[in-house]
Amino acid sequence: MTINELLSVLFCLSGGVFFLAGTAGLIRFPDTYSRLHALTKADNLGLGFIVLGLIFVAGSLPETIKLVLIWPLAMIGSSSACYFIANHVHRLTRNKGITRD
Amino acid sequence: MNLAFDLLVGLSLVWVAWRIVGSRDHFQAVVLFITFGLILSLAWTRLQSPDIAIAEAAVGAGLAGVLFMDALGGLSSSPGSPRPAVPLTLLFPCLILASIMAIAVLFVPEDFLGLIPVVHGALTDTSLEYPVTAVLLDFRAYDTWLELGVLLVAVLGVMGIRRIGSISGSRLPAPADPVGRWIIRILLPIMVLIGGYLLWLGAFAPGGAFQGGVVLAAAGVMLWQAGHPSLGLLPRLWWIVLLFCGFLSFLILAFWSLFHSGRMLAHPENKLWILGVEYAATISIATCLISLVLASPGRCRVRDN
Repeated sequence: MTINELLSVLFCLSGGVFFLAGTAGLIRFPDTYSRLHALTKADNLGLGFIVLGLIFVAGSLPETIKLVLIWPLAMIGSSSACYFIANHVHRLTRNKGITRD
Repeated sequence: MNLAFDLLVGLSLVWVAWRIVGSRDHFQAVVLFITFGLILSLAWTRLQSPDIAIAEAAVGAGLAGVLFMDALGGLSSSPGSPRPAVPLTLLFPCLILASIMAIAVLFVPEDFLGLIPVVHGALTDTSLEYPVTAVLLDFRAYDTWLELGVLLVAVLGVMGIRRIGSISGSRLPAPADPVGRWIIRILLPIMVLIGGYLLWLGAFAPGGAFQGGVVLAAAGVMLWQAGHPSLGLLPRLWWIVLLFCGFLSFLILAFWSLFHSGRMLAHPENKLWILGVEYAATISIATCLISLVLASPGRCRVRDN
């Protein structure tokens, strides 16, 4: 096992840990806001680590560039989706005066 | 390890499918359906079919999900509706079908390569380099042609049911807030770029007309969701031209080759033909899918007379 492969495994595993933490938060947290927090924070970091890990075993420069591009795109997507869901829930609770989980 | 992962994917497919059938809540069923599409595309990836995986993730999970969500808006919500009864009479034929397929898989010889050698052997006869694209556009062009026809019929069906002649008058969602506009400003150029990239990639790698067209369609749907009429801005004649150009280009190719080589849809050696047909198909696919969403009855019911 070369040093690159070792680093790749290490980073991918740490990414997996963050995904696991995010999923635990999604299942265990009490309301929508904190669930969104768990998902968007932990999973983005997890994806970042996995992309970082895969870069070490990427074959070529174009492949590396595409891998690096995935991360900000996923972050833009997840942060905006988080905003829309949170905004929707916020409006629902403000209008009806109830908490929704 | 791989076997364990494959088993996990397969079993979760069955489990999610069962949850969809038994789901009480329409919204939950739609979300589960999107999940099903994503797991299915993972399964296709494991089967080393990236083309189908991209198409499944984009169409099955993405655009079908949007259409279902849109239809939900038009349904009266009934959270307390009784659990839908799964007809037990269906269980028996399903089990028989499943066992027949399982037995069929058991009888496949281990070194069976399927049609791979045939396709690779025939690649010299076509000007395309990538086997999947060669099958779609050359060897089985008839299938692709009719698929475009199916998309067209779907759009015409929706228009017919809604009794509208164009999509320009459909009701728009509320304009997007600043965050929505910010995302569109970032994502729209990237989506157009990726759509074109996937289309170009189809010549020698996984990608092609369907994948590229769906990404472009997603860009149009995103614009529409933000309150922009997108394709509705086009004059009706242009919209019809874009809608039909894929189907028509295949038709022209079929007639042309019928008179020149005596066989229908026999591709000429010139690569320009294939590029033209594929580009036209991409535009048509994108236009059809956007039109399906724009003309979908769910959101527009309020405006109906």
